[in-house]
Amino acid sequence: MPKDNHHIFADGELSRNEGTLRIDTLDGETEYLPVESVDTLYLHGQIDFNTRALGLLNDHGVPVHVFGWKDYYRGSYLPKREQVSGNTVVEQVRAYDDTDRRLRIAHDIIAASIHNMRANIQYYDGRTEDFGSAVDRLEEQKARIFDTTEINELRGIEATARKIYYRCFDRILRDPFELTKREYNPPTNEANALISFLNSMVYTTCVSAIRKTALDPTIGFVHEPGERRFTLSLDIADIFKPILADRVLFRLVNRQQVGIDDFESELGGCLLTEDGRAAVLEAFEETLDRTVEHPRLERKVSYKTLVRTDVYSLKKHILTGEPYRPTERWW
Amino acid sequence: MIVIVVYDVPAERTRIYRKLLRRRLEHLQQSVFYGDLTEGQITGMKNEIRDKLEGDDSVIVFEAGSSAIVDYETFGDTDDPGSRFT
Repeated sequence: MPKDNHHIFADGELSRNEGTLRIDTLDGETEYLPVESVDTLYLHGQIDFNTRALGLLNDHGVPVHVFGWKDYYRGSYLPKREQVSGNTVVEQVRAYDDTDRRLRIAHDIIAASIHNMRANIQYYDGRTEDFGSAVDRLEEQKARIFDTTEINELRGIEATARKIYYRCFDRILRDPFELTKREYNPPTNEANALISFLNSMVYTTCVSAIRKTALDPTIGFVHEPGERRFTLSLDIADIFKPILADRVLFRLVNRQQVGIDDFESELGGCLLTEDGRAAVLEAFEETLDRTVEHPRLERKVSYKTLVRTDVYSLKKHILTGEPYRPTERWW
Repeated sequence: MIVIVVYDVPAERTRIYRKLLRRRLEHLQQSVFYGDLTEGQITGMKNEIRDKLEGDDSVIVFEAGSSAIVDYETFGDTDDPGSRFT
């Protein structure tokens, strides 16, 4: 059973007290967090903290993800690596550098990603709308994957698939939410804002999961490794966005758990309000806790654990050549 | 596993248990703690409690297999136990 994440919305101070975490909010409240039972800490408010607090988080291996103004992802404080293995990193770089090996891993990732997109569309096919043609076209894109010999070509397929996929959103989402075009930096309407926020949560979930292995988060296979970003997290996040982000989005909107008044527009962008963010995160956390029967592990695992098993599988593939099985929705 | 721990110890010794329990569990009320722990964490906690015991100390640990079988209702000025948001 994985530990729970904790989100701090309040403004205040985070400190170390009696061997655990203490939060003093500006409202004058004091709360203690059980440091040994926290998986990952998310800071959404304005929080002061010092090195003693960081040291404690470090001792217990708790990553901290910091969100800044209007919940733009700002960065992470990651604990000292517990898993270090030069061998793994060397093999990971080799796998990246070897065109064949890299392509094989990238194929698997994109295939899983498109599979999960298709599963979402299929779920809504016949329920409210007819998505038969979109399902077929996604299937076509998926079939083309294994013929590609270049990473650019592969990314092109992924982009086409995602376009087909996002085009269905407008018809799934209950009015007045609409998505005619996926836009970010900043998101231009409510649906885009929700997708951006949820995607950043999926990304940080993957960052936390990769941290639990010896893999280097900066070396990815689909995305080109660059500066200042965790490319491997982007790769893994692509697999899980349809499962963790998009389904939550549909549920939140269609059950009217968030409404248009949970957003505010500013400077040409549209962003969630604080109440809106809390509602979204509650639904997201609930989704991470959902469990499914895992056929190979023969036990129930939560979605959060699925992200980890996915990363473990990739690591094992890189080290031993055992087939990589990216998570494809089977349930 | 869901765990509820209550203690009744002399006033000057309460901080010993408070400190020990706060690391793993949520501090609900004066001497009542609540949380969701793994079996390993529970064993570790029990061992630490055993090490600290003295004279009149009394500590009770309640355990339940899954959070689904524990119902609760809160009255008055209380936060819901197990909240992930601050």
